[in-house]
Amino acid sequence: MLVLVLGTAVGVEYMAHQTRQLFSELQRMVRHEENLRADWGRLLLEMSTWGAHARVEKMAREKMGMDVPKLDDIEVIKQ
Amino acid sequence: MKNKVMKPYVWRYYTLAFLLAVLFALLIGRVAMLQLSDEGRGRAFLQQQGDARSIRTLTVPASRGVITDRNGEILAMSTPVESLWINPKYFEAKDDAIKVLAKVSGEKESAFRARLQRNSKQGFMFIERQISPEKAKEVLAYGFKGVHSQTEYKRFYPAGDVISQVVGFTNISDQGQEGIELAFNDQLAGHPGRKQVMKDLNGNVIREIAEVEAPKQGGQIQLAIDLRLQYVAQRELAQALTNFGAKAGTVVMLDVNTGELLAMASQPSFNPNNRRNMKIDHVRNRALTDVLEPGSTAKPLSMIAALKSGKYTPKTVVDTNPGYIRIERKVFPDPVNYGVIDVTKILAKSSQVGMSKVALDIGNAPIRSVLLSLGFGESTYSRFPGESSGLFPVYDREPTGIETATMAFGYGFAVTPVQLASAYATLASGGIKRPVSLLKVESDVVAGERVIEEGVAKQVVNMLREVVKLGGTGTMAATELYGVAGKTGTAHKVGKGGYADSKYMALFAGIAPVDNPRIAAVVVIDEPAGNRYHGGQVAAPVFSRVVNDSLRILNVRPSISVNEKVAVTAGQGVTHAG
Repeated sequence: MLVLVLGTAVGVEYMAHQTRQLFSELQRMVRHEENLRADWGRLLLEMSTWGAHARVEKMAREKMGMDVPKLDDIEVIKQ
Repeated sequence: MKNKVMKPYVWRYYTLAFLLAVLFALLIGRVAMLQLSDEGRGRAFLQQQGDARSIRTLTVPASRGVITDRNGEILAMSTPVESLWINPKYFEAKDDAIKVLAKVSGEKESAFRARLQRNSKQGFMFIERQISPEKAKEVLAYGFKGVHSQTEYKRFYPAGDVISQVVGFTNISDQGQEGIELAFNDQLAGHPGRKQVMKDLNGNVIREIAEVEAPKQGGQIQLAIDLRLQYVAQRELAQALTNFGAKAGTVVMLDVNTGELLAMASQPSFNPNNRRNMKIDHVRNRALTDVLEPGSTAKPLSMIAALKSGKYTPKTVVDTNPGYIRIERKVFPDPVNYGVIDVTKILAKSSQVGMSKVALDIGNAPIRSVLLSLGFGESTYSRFPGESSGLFPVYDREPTGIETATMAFGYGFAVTPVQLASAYATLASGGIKRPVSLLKVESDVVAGERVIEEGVAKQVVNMLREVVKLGGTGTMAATELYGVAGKTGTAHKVGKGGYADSKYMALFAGIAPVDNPRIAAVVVIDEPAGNRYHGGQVAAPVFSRVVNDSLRILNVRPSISVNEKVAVTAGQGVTHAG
C-alpha cells in the first residue's frame, strides 16, 4: 500500500513536471510563430512595395522598353 | 543567602516553561489546522489568497484574419507589434531613463515627464503603442523598473491606396471601422485566449502555468475584386481626374456571369497605412454610397419598355422635328434637329426629343416597372456599410408628362454606380439579373433571375453597338481589341434651388466584349472643369482603356473583326484573312 502511494505520488509529480516542460515548450514555439509571422508581414509589405503594379508598369515601360502590343502586332493562333 | 532567595521562585520557572510549551503546542496545532482543515478561513481560503497575490491570468492576443482579392493577393493582414507600457508606481524617473523613453514615444522629455506625473497614481500608462518588436526589445534591454511590453496586432494594407475605400480600415484596437473591415468584422476578428502565469513582486512573469483558453485566430475573407483590374481602374480614373480637372470619380466593373464586383475604384483615394493626412471625403466608397441621376445612361433601359410594349422595334421611326419638344410648361431641346430617325438612332444620338416622344407614347408605368425590375430603388444587399439603395419616386397620383419623359431620360430618380452597372450587366446577360457580390463566388455562372425577355435584351445591346460607332455619342469608348456597346450620359448636378447650369456628371455605362459579354462597367466623372464635360468626351475614354486592359488581363480572346490574322499551326504557315 505504502509503496503504491509513494509510487503514484512520484508519478503525479513526474507528470506535473512533464506538463510544465511541454507548456514552456509550447510557449516558446508560440513566440517563434509570432516572430515568423512578423517577418512574413514585413516581407509581404516589402514585396508589395517592390511589386506594386504602378512600379512594375513604370519599370517595364521605361527601363525595359516594353509596351502593350498594338492591334497589328497581335496574331490569333487557332489550333 | 542566595539559595534562600532563589528557592521560592523555582515553581515560577516550571510554570513559565509549561505555559510556553502550551503556547507552542497551540501554535503548532493552529498551523496544522490551517494546513489540513477547510473550516472557515482554512486551507482553501489561504491557497486562494496566496495565488491571488502571485498568479495572474493574461490575455493571449489573437490575430485578425486576412483579406485577399480573388486571386489570393493579400489586401489586409495583421502583424504582431509591441506596445510599451509603464507602471509609474515602480518607475524611477532618472534622467537617462526619461531620455530613452521620451525618444521612443517621440515626445519632448518635459512632455513625457508631465505625462508621467499626471498618471503617477495609476499603475498603467502607454509609453508608445505599436512599435516594431526590435525597437521594443532594445528599450526593454535597459531593464528600467516598471517598463513592460505587450504584444498587439497592427493591420497592414499591402495594396495601399489602390483599394483603400473598399477594404476600409481598423482602429487601434483592431476593430473594423470602415468598408469590408467593418462589414465582416465578426468573421475577421479573432477571439483572444487566456493563460495563467505566476508573477513576482515587480509584475514580471516568472513562470507560465497553463493555457486556460486557446486564442481563436480570425477567419479569412476573399473578395470578388481582382487587384489587377482594380489597379487599372484606379490608374485610368486618377489620370482622367487630372486631365479634366474633375472633383471625384468612380469606376465599377461587374462580372456579367456571376455578378461579382471585379473592380470598384474611387478617386481621390487615401493611403490606409498612413492615415494622418486622411480626409473623410476620400474614405467614402463612392461606387456604393453615392447616388446620382443616371441621365442618358438610363435611355437604353427605358427603351426596353418600348420594345417590350410591342409598339416599337429597333427600326421604328420617330419624328423629332423641329428639334425640340414642349411638354406641359417645359421645353426639352436636342443639340441639333435630327429630323425623322429610328429608335436606334435616338440612342446613338442620345436624342431627348425622340426619347420623350417614345416615353409619352408608351406611358409611365411600363418604364417604371422595367427600372424597378432592374433593381433601382432597392439595395443590392452587398452588406457594404453605408450602401445606399438610391431614390425612386412613389406617386400617389397620375404622373405628369414631364415626370414620364424625364424618367425615360434618367432624371427624377437616383442610383448608385453599382446599381447602374448591375442594370447593364442584366442587359449583357440577355436579361438575367444576378445579385451583386462583394465576395468571390466559387461557380463560373450564377443562376440569377430573368427580368427581361432575351430577345429584347439582345435588341437593346445591338442598338448600343451603334452608340460607339461613327456618328454616335460614344465613339471614344471603342477599344482597340474588343467590340463594346454602351451609352454615354451627361447629367446636370443638383445644386441649391434646382439643377446647376455648369456642374455636370459625365457618365459612361457599357458592356464588353459585345458578342459574348464578360464585363459590365460604369464610369462616373464628377464635375469635370472646363468645356469638355460630356460623358462621351470624359467618361468614354476611361471606359475604353479600362475595359481594353481588363479583358486583356483576363485573357479574353480579342474580337478583332477588321484585321483578323489567323496563324494556323502545324506548319501551314500564316494566312491572313480579310
